[in-house]
Amino acid sequence: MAKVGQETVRHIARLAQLELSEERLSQFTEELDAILGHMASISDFQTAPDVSDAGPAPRRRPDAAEPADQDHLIQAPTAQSEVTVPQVKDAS
Amino acid sequence: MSGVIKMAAEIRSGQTSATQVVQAALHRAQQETLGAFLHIQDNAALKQAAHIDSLIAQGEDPGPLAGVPIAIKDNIAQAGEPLGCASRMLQDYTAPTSATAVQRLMDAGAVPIGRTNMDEFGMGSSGENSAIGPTQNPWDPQRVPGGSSSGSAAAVAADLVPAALGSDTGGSVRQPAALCGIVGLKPTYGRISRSGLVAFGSSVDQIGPMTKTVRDAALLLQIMAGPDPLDSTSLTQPAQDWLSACDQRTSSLKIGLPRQCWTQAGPLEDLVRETLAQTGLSLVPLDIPSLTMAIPTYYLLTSAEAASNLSRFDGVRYGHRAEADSLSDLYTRSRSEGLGPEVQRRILLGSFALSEGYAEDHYQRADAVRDQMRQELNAALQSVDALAMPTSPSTAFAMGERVADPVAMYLSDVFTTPPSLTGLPAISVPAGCLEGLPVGLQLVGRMHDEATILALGAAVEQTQR
Repeated sequence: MAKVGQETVRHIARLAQLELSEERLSQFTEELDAILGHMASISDFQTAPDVSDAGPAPRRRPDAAEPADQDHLIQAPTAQSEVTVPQVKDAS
Repeated sequence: MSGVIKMAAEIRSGQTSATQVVQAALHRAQQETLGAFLHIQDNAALKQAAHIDSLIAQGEDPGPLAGVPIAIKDNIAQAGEPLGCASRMLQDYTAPTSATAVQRLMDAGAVPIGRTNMDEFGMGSSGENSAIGPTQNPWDPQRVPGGSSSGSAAAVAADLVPAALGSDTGGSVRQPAALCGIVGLKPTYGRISRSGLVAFGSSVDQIGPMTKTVRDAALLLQIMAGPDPLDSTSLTQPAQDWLSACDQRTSSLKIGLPRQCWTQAGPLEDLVRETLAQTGLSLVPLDIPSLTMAIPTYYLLTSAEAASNLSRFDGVRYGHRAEADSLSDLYTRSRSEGLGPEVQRRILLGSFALSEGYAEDHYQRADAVRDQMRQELNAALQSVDALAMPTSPSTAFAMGERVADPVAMYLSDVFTTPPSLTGLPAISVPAGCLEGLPVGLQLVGRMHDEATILALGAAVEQTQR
C-alpha cells in the first residue's frame, strides 16, 4: 500500500471539502500513514477467487408520488408559501 | 431499580403510576454528573406519562412498555426533539419525524426522557469524541464507558433508566455495554428499521437495545423489529416472540470459539472462558482466518461510506453554516468548523480509500475480504450454533489513554466488527468483573437467529446470579 504524504492528504481534503491548518495537516498525515500502515496486511490476505457474496439485496418501493410531509419544513429558515435561504452563489 | 418488564408490570397493575416513575427518572437524569445526557425532555415525557396513566384509568391497554422511561442516543430521531449526533454540525437541528424504532417503542407505551451523549456521528470507541464533552464510566469516572453509544450505556449502568437505544456500526452498542456491565444487542442487519437513524455506514448500521437483562433486550427487540416501508433494507420477516426464546433449553447447543479471537491468554480471556464453562455448553475451537482482517476491512469500508453519507453536511443541505463569500468557501468552512477531528479523519480515510488510483487496493480489496468473511462465518455457523469471544480485548481503559493513537483506539473494536461487516446478530452479556471492572462476553448467531443468542445470553446471565 502507498505511503501517504502531505500533498496526498491536502488533495484528499480538498476533494472532501475540508480546510486543514498546517498543524492539522501534519497531524492527519502522520495518523493516516499509521492507520494505512496497519491496514497494509489486507493486501496480502488471500481471498478465494470465486467468493462473491454481496449479501441481501435491498427491496424497492413502488415509484409512486405521495403528498410531501410538511413537517420537514420546520428546519427551513422561514417557511410559509416559500422558503427563504441565504445567498450562496457568488454575486458576480 | 426495576428492569423494563417488572417496571411495566407495576405501572400496568396500578402499583405505581407512569407519571411517578417518569418524574423519578427525570430527576435522576437532571442530577447525573456522568455526562450521559445531552438533553432532557421534561415536558414531552410528562405529557406522554400522563397519557399512559389516563389509558390505564380508562381501562385501556397502555402497551407492554407502559410508562417505562427510556433514553435515546443522539443520532436516532424523535419528532420535535434535538437530533445533534453530539456534533457542532447539528447543534441546532430538530428532528422533523421520529425514527421507526422510537415510534414503535412509544406506541408500546415507552416514554423517552432524553437524548444521550455519544461519539460524534457514532465514530469512536470511548465516548471521548463527543463535541459536547466525554461521558464517564459509572464504575469508575476516571475511565471511559466505551463508545459510541457512551451515554446510553452509562445511563443504564447508573440506573438512570432501565433501557436505552444505541446504534451499532462496528460495536457501538456491544462494546460500551461490555465496558459498563450491561446487555447490548445488535440484531441481524435489517431486523430493526434504520429510518430515522442518522447514516454513518449504511451497509452496517443497526439500532439496538441496551438493558440490564437479556429478557429486557428481547422484549425491546420484538417491539422494534419487523418490516418498514421507510427502509428498503429492513427484513420482510415479522417480529418473533424473542421473550419466550430466552427460556429455550440450551444444553444441547454447541459454541464455536474462533482461535483468532482467543490469542491473548490473559485474565480477561480466562474469565470469559470460565463463565462459558459454567454454562455447561459444548465448546468447540475452530478457525476463521478472515477475522484477522476485521479492523482493516471495517475501517476502510465504513470510512468510505461515511465520506459519502456525511457529504450532506455542507451548511446548505444540512448543518452548521459558516460565514463565507463564495459557495465553495461556504461548503469548506461549514464542514471544517462543524465536524470534529475524528469525523474529519474518517472522511479523509474514506475519501482516500475511494479515490482514483487507490480504490482497487483499498475499498475493493476490503469489499472482497468482507465477502470472504461472510462466507467463512456462515460456514462456521453450520457446524456450531453460535460463536463466542470476549466483547472487547480490555476492560474500560483510562480517559485519554488512546486519544492520541487512533490505531490503538480502532483495535478496541477487533471482536465486534466481524458480525457488523457480515450482518450477523450478536449480543454482549456481562461475564463477571476483573479488578472491579465489568467484562463482556459476545455471542454471535446465524443470520436471522436472534433466538439462539438470546437463549444463550440468558444462560450466561444465570451464571452471574
